[in-house]
Amino acid sequence: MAKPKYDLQTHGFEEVSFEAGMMNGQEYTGGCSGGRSDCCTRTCSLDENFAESEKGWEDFLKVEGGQVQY
Amino acid sequence: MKLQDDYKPYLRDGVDVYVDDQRLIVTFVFLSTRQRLQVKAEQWLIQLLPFFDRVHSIAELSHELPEIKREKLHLFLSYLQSKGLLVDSEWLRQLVFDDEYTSSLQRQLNFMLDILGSPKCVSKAQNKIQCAQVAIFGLGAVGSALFLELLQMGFQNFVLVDEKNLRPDSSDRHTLPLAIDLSLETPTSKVDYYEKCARTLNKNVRIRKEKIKLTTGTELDILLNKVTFVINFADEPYIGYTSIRLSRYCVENDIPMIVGGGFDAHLASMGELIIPKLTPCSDCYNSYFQETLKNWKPIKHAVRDRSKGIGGLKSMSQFSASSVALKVFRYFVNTGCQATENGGRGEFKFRDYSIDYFSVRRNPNCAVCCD
Amino acid sequence: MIDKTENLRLRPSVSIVSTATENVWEFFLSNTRQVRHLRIRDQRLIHLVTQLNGTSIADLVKEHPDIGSEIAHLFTALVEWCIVEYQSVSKTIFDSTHYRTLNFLSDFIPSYALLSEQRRFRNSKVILIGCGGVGSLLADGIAAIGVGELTLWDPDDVKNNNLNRGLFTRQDVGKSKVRVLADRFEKLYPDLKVTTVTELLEQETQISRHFGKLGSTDLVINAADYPNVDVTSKLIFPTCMNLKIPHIVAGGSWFHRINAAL
Repeated sequence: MAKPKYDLQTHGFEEVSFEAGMMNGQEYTGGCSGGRSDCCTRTCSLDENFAESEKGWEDFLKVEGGQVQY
Repeated sequence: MKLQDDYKPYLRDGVDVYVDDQRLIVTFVFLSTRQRLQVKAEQWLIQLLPFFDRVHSIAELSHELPEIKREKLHLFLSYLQSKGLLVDSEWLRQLVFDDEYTSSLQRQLNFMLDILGSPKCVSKAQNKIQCAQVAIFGLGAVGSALFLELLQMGFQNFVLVDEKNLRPDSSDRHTLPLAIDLSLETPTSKVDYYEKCARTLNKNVRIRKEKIKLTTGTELDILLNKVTFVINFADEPYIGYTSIRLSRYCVENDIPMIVGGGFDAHLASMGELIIPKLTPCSDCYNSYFQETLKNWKPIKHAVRDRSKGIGGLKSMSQFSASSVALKVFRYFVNTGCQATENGGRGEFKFRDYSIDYFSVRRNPNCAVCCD
Repeated sequence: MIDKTENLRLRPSVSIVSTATENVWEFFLSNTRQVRHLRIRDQRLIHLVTQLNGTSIADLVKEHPDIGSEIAHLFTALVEWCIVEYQSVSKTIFDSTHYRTLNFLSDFIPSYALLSEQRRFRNSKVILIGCGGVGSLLADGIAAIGVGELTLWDPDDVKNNNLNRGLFTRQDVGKSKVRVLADRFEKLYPDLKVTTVTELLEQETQISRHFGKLGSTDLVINAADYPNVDVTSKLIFPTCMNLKIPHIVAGGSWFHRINAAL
């Protein structure tokens, strides 16, 4: 097997995997790292310009389970 | 009903016929939909197929046939007619629509004939399309492309909702069929521009323009008065908020709806059809994502203003728009193969050119769409 | 070669997520939905990545000399993997009317090469044969990417029954398809050079004659399905193979209305 370009010992990091596309929500894993649970759409493009209006929407919609994820 | 003897059967265009002489099997291939119908038939019947040419009447075709074969010929012709293979050669002209409308939709109507099997059903389905009142929220890259496709499908009545103007960067992804000066000095609102485009495709189009933003305070009863189908591409501040808002209204008022795809981070997603009380509603989708994404918590981004940091391609927007347009078409044509209890989301993956799909079931405890 | 004095920032469309596995982090490139998992031993490194908004590799190494080597390797890799970008390039993207396309390309073209690749696009030539229902939309999509020259080839005029698909309106009926598109693109894409060909494609020699006139060609797309795509492919394919020009057979033709391009 070819030696990976970066390895933990030498470089302090190494590549574990690379996937062409992320799709199924059930593949997501993770430990808790914060109070908010954000879906990839809203986090990956979240614009600070809309931060104020978000609270208004969350209060209006009052979805079960807390914040809206879509 | 038995066909008359002076009837001149015509094996319609758009269908290729292949004959296996040895096994006496005829394969009819519908070119628009790639459907195939295979029929085993007696040799004499197969030999008559080339004479279904609008020239020879049933009387002429059965002239020297014994009675039993005449009966079989009638049955065979009735069968072919029931499968949409025999139509009047002037069937398009006999539809209820004006000539201009029909001629521009000729290809689509032939396509529908493949699926629906009879000119009568085609007429009914296209009439539903023509009479529908469609509200489109958001005329961005995907919404604008979808609007133009719906016009091309023959939809004529719209409510267009978008507060914004076109900008210099709009040519990057918006579909712009008419020449326009995109400079900031001469702003053109999206609703005005796309209304103008609509009139170049169909002079009978009726459009109500709403240059507003969907907010928590929007009066949906007024905005969606007489609307029979809703399509949502409004992604500010967030597609989830606007979709849930609209979905709740649509479920309560029994209006079918589509949440369009192609938004940020899902640049080529394929949209979700929501049929009240049948498919998952947006609250069901929300419940689904809350569960599946509960352990997926991205770290707060170092860059605060990311408004011009997201990517996109016109082709991917077009892909999303077309997939939504197909969903709308299938719904109106009512093929029976639309979404039922299971919803879901499809997504085209750019990197390896595949399409992924996952299913979403109705939440049995949904306070919005379950009794 | 990465410039270690260039200020870097985490790309706005990239998200970082912790995973269930210790020290393994997920980097999600949201434009193309690629996911890369990295094991990063030192927590300080991941902290530096998540906070990256305008610091150079050189400065980071200076601030953290004890992990300087790991910093240099990691951030070099992150630039190569399109997770991190040059801030100077991000400013150029921000100021461009094509920022969406450039951000998308940045998912697989590293920051240091993006602008030179954009110039390569601008110098590229594409020939599109067939400008009907599929071809007209294709033409628009290709033009929007930022190619330099686009040759549009179609002998037909716009007809009424073309209006249910593609980019044409009633005002275009009776006019040459390629001329309609060329006129439209002149206004929408002022940097794009458009040439038009209205000959009916019947012989292979027509292809090689026109290709010769056009000079080097980077890509040929066949969206012509009259009389059928088999015939047009047989005319176009040999010349492209002989001249080693990549070519695509577009989908959407007779009997394959929703197939993807080959």
